[in-house]
Amino acid sequence: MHMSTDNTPSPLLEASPDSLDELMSRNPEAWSDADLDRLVNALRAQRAKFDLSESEGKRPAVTRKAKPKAVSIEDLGF
Amino acid sequence: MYNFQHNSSFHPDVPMLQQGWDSTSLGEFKLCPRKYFYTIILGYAPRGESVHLTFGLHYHSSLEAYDHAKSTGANHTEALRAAIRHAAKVTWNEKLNRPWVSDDSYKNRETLIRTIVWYLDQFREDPLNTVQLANGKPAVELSFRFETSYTAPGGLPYLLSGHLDRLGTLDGTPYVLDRKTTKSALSPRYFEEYSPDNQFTLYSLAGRVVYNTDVKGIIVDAAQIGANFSRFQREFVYRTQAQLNEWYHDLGFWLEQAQGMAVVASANWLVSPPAETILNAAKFYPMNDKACRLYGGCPFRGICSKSPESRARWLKADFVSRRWDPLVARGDV
Repeated sequence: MHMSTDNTPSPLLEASPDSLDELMSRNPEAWSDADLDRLVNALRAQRAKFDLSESEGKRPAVTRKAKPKAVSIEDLGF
Repeated sequence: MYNFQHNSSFHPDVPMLQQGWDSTSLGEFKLCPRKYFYTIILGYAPRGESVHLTFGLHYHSSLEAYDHAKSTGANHTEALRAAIRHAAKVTWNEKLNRPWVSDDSYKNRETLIRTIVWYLDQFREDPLNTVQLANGKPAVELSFRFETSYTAPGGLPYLLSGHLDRLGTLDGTPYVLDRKTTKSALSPRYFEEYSPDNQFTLYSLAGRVVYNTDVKGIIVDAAQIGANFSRFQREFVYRTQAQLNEWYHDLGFWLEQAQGMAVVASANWLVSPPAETILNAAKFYPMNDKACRLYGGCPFRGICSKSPESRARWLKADFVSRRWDPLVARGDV
């Protein structure tokens, strides 16, 4: 099997939060077009995830109170 | 030096009389003459950054970078890079060699860049066609200025000025595009607040007067900024010719009020101009004490709540001076 000798990390690895944090902490004067594209791809992936959660109607879980049982006078012991 | 001194928007002979007005200064005067005196005439602004102002400025200038790149033939990918590069640069502190630090979880460098990318992707195929100006340039980030029929002492005309994000046509109908950012939900109530609205009526009027187009109103591209998301909604805010006429008629009243106050305040100041006495002129600009709690609270509430003789000290301690000249152009005029 042919093994690539290219040391360039995969785009997915590159788009990891750590690498983006590292990019954001660098002086943007030194950002390359590839850096910008990587950032854009990560933000698009973030949007796809957000759009999916929106379409699934995900909302914070609401704790519903149990309906109180009907209580009769007899139950209260009067 | 105070804002009204050596400022092209002020009258040459009546120092505190503003002759060139934009929606910000007119809005401040309508809201509260005292606040107008502090912010526009004297130029006081709270110490410390307003994250909303900073975020809004960076958002607008980054989208402008996109529009300009597109107008010079760049494709979406290239123009998007230009916008992000711009946003990254304006939020980089060269002196400290570190990014802009915001303590707001909604409005910070990361949410700014995210909002720019998501917005531009969403409106990549924008049906709003940018108007081409007579000089061949696209009508984006336009500074406008025009004379009104109202006159200041000496016969000088009052001027109206401002900046339009973009002028475009949708199905052949011209509109002014304005981009807003907010933390609020983009509900019908959010958009209802733009009718009536000082800024949007002025911009509609400017679209008609300056660019000689039959502008129907404003297209608002609102961006709701959340900590982990940005949402966008485009809505139409219409203005009829009768509404524009009504606003323009009322403008005469406001200018007359402002002139009356400025003439008396300037005369007093010219008699005794030392800086220490300038705040005495505040008495000619009445407080609107029903507006103190509006829009999240007036920054000068702490000043107005003090006894008049101690206000100068508090102003110097808690505020900084800045320049605000509505007649300074930003983009193409």
